[in-house]
Amino acid sequence: MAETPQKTGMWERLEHCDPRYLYLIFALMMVALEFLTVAIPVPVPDTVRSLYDRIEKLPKDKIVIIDCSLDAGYIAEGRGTFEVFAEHLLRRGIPFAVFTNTTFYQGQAFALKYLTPMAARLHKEYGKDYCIWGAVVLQNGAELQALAKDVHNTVKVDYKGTPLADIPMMKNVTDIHNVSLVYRVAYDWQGVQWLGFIQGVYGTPFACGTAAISSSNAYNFIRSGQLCGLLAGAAGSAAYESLLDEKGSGTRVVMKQSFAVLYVVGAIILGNIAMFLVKARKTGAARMDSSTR
Amino acid sequence: MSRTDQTPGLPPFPPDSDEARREARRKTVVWAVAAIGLVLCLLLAYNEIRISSGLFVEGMKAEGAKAKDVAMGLALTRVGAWVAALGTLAVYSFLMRDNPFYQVFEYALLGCATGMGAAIVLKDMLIAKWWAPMSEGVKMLFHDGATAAALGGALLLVPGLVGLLWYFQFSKRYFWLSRIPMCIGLGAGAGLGVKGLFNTLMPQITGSFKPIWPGQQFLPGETFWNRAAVGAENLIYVLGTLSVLTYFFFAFGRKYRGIKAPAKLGRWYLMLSLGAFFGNTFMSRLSALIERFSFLFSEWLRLSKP
Repeated sequence: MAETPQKTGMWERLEHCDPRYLYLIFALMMVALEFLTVAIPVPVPDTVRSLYDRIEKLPKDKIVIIDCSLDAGYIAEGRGTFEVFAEHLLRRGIPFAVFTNTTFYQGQAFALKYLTPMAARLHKEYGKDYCIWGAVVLQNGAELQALAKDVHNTVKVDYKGTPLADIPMMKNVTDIHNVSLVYRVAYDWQGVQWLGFIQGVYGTPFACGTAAISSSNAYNFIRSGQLCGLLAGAAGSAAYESLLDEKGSGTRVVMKQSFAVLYVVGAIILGNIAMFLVKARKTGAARMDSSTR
Repeated sequence: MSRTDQTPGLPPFPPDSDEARREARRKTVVWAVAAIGLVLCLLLAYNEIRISSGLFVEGMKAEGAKAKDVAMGLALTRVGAWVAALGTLAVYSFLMRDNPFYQVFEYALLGCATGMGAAIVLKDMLIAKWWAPMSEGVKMLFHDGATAAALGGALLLVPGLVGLLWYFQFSKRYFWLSRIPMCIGLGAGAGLGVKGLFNTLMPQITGSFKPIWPGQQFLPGETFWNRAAVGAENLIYVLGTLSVLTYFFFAFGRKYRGIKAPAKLGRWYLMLSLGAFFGNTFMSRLSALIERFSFLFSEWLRLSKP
């Protein structure tokens, strides 16, 4: 007698589902979310609030230095952490200088791309409210020490080639004592150089915005008081945006992240249910076989 | 009468063998994909003409004689968007399987990164930090004499020459000379490293001494429950520090009870922290994916808001 082909049930099919279908559903969901906006409540952690409060109290006669080490691979999270911080400073009228480490050479282009329209929207002026030093070699202890002692001779010119002494907001900024805060936006956690040679020596407050993946290392420095604020990934920038009362890139990414996480968790649960049910059925069928024999 | 309609010069329909049926199915799929691809290409072309012409018109609104240049510049930004979009699609095509489209962009990225790295080292390090101030200093030395600025610049020749000693690594006879810059680098690095490490780690060590019951001197004016909450948090922190340190304490082995139990707790702490690391990793990768989708739809196709 010919054997009838065994029917595969829904759970069997689910268990052996080609992962490419899962990618396809995920991609379709992401496309749908491009055109939809769903309000997601964003909690504000202490690490974000402390940075916001500090900016609110910063003096306007000193500058803030932003180490904008953005690169294309980190732009999803880095854009938000850079934009919210710069926007807060511009709104408060605190002058700031942006530079990018030569290792992250794309940072200057991204800083220009995001700062220029923001400054135009808030009616702020280059050279008076903000300036861009450009690509500077400032990542090792020796270079940071030199910056702390003599800003003009270490950086020399801005990205356009204008000497720092000719930029109105930089005229009186000679050393680190004219700097009220240093903020680093970078994918990795390389802030230890700033902690070791600037914050640890001169007491200049230091804060950072990192990718969520690197934030686990940065949290150690919050409890010891070495970091005065931390924007961890898109969630950090979304929380800061809620403090600034606006919806920016951080909020949009967090909304999509929430749905993506729900989808992944749902897929994991369904996959596990399918695996256990199929296993239970197979065990039951094997028992039936052995009892009939 | 035969079940198939046989037209002279054409294969029978419906196909009369399994192989013929497979071939017919394959052709149908190929033609369907080609048709869908053609429609998509036409839609893309229409969309691109709409975007580029819009940018050109916007650029022509610029004042002065350079309006045409501005317009052309804006329209040319679309080339960058296309290259980035094709690169993104090529990388994601790897999800289906490894393919030449993916490999082309993989090698292009490697080549660009290497070239860019070399250019940065040459332009921002060697020329900007060494050659320009050194040559300026030497010029000043001949024109103005031995002033501080001239000497400061001209003396950069010395580290340049010391740096060149690295290349004696290629000589068996004079290999020892390459050790000079190595020793200088190691010495300077070690000195700076100790200073940096001290300033970074000392606050970490002092910060790990937390009061289990934060009294009036630690939290002035706080309620009992707030103190209890901070105390519990500190307790978890202190326990974690001690137990993880015990886990990595291999001198006595794990046979003593006083070591075994805290080491086990330390292992749990480590597993929890690794879980948190993994969660954060997932969120970062997810953000990168979301950003790429946003780029494709907002910057490339301009169908959604950026």
